[in-house]
Amino acid sequence: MKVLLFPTCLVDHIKPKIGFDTVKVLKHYGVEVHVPERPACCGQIAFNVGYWREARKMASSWLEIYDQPEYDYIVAPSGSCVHMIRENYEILFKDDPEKLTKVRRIKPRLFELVEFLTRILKVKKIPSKFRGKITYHASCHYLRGLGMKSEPGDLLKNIDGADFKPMELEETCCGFGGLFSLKFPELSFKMAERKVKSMEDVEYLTSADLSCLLNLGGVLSRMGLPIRPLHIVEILAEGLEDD
Amino acid sequence: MERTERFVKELENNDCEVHVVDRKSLKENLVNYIGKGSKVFYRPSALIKSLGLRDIFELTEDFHEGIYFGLSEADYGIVYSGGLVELANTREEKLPSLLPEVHVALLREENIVEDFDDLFSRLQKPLPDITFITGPSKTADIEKILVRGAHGPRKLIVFIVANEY
Amino acid sequence: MIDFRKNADRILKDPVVVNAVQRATLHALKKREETIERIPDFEDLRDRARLAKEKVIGDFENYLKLFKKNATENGFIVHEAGDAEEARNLILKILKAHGARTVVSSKSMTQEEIEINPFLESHGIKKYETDLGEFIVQVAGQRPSHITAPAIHLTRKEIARLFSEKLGMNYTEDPEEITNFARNFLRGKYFKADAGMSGANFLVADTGSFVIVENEGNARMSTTLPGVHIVVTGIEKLIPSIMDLPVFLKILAPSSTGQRQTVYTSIFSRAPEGREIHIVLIDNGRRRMLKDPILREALMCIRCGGCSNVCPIFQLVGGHAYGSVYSGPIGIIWTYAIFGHEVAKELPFASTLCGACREICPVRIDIPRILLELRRRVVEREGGRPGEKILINVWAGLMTEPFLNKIGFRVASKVQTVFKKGDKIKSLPSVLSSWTKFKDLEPLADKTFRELWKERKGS
Ligand code: SF4
Repeated sequence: MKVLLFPTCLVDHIKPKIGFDTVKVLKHYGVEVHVPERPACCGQIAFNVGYWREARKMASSWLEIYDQPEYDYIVAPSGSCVHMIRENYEILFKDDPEKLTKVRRIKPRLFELVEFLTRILKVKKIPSKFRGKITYHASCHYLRGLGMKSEPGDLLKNIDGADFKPMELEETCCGFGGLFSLKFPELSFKMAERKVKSMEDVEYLTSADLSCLLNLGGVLSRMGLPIRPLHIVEILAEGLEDD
Repeated sequence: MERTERFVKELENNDCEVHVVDRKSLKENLVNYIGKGSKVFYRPSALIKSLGLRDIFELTEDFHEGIYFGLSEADYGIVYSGGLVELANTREEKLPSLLPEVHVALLREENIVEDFDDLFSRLQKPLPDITFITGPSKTADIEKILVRGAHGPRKLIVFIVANEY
Repeated sequence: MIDFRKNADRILKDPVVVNAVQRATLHALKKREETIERIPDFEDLRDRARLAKEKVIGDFENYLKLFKKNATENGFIVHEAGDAEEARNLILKILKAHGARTVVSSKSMTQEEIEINPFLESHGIKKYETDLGEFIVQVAGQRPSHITAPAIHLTRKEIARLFSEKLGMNYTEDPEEITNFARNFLRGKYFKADAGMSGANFLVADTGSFVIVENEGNARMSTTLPGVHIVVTGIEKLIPSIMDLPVFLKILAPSSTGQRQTVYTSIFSRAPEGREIHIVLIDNGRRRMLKDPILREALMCIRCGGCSNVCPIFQLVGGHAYGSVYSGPIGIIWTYAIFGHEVAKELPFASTLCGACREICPVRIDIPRILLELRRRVVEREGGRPGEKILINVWAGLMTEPFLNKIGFRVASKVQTVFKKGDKIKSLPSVLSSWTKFKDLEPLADKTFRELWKERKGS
């Protein structure tokens, strides 16, 4: 099985480890992974604030890079990027039949990592060696856009040494919202703070979206709270054999 | 009977006091509940007229402040919502269930229907005015604290008159 | 222009309001959960309600015609108003014809939309709001902060003070006693009022009926006691048939207050002898929405307030932040559609697009999709904000041109060392400063994932 990895712009430029951990997990299940050389962003940051022209530019470039029929799947460690491509590219290119064809060709083969693991590879338990008390934040587009509700928690629960402790406001938005957090910093912070305050007695905060983790992690760090943000793949990949 | 039981439960969920009585003891129940000589603002119906309440209460179709009890016969009961249905067009017909402190409603068991649809399919056009009454008047507008009797009755008492077999 | 950010920041400084709003919204959500657990076909009901509304929107003028015909046959006097001004004049004319000096009214968003109260006041007509929450807000000289709980932003202490100062109530903080005071105060008004006004929750095309849903009984009083009754309602309240009404009654209360059913539902289908019932149908921009392929979906809204309750932003700041009679996620859309671009151009951005509103909406309105479209329109019309526009264009360049990406990344990861404290960035200059105002930023990596990947492959 051949997979083309979309590391996402944030992972690529800020947390390369998440990219390597994604590869590690995929390889563990015998998947052959390829990474394109060119940088790419799905364009949601522009699309979500109304700059559709700029979004189209990024999306076109993304399609050029990832429309490669020889790969069985395209996998990304981000719920919101996958959601953007799956749900919004057709809106963005509704008057561009050529691009639309590409989008429709890609859509059925595009998956977020945990989605790919649980729905395609049917993974129920990962032999991760992770230890510690974890809580989970359901990122909005992942939860409500891709419908990933129980899967991440189920995988986390099944890690032998991990103590999974769901938080009360698991499904509440963290307040990031892309440029929302620039336009309404005070409000964005209060949303994150409320969320952070609902985490009790945990050491790690995890999620399937780096953007949320950067937001919540940034607030945790500023508030001086000893909870470490980790992408879910960093937890899943812990202790898996490297090639 | 099973339907009636479910209906009673729903009514109780909606904060109503419910008594299932037979036709013979209805009058006695009303007298006990309302009290001899009380002023009662009422909406006449065949059932109420047949009870001969005139000698017991001071019945009136004209409301004035200070009347504590309202008495009316509901036309239907709906299990789904646990509420009563009044088909009433005029002001006089509509007010006994609204103005007094306590609304005493009678309902014949045979008039309990399962759902809204059952009601609408029974009614002929042109429709009468329809009022669904699902419990006593309520508000939670101050700090979300529930208060009964916001503008209408503080209490809703339902006497279900059991079918005779 | 409504300045959402300013409004929100002001409210965030008031912990009493923030707490009250949070408590009220979460309470309604919890009750909703419990209630729909007992409605096994709730999802199916939502689909059916949506379908009924789609039918109306797909053939709007015919349904409206049918309603008008049937309502007229029922003895109602039907009027149509193209805009708010026409509506106000129409209402005034009816009231004057009856020599009305005082009016009692039950809750109606549409009446607020056309700002009828100050208008009547200026013509010497006193209108009393009779819904307790609305009454409190009216006495306070404020605006409702929540669609179904207009006074949630006020504490019992504040209400007690207000009533004793302005209405002469013997000071008490007991909600029951305060309610009782208002009950008695308004009782007097109902009997003396020359006219009653209300809104409508539904207009039923095939029977010409209008439907009002409430808990307190004030709408029943306002519509029954005075000699003339004026219904003020938006044309979007249409539903095709009385047989559709059960579906709507089954989804409205659970989505709204979390009740299975509201206490009173009144269906009016005939004007009694000697009593006038007027229905004022208001367009005021709704037909414009109808013609708009994206905005028309918002006309399906049944004003349950569910999207406000579930919105993480509304939960913090409440309705006042939106600066409009229509608040919360759907309120943004309505405010933009009804009051226009200039007034509302900042509002569409006041959402993280988290999608909770879409998930809860009983008629499945895709609110985030409409917000996205509004944002697009705002940017197109305004050309974008300077700082933001540059930021996004630079980003788009960096993400599409490998060469720029390489150079840009190098430069940025060098520059950032100036701002780095330990392993975090704690403050940034200019447009980006608001990103570091409340949180630490993660710096860029030393090398990109792609670079590292290539190195590993090579080795
Ligand atoms: S948009 Fe939907 S959830 Fe929001 S008020 Fe309207 S009907 Fe209710």
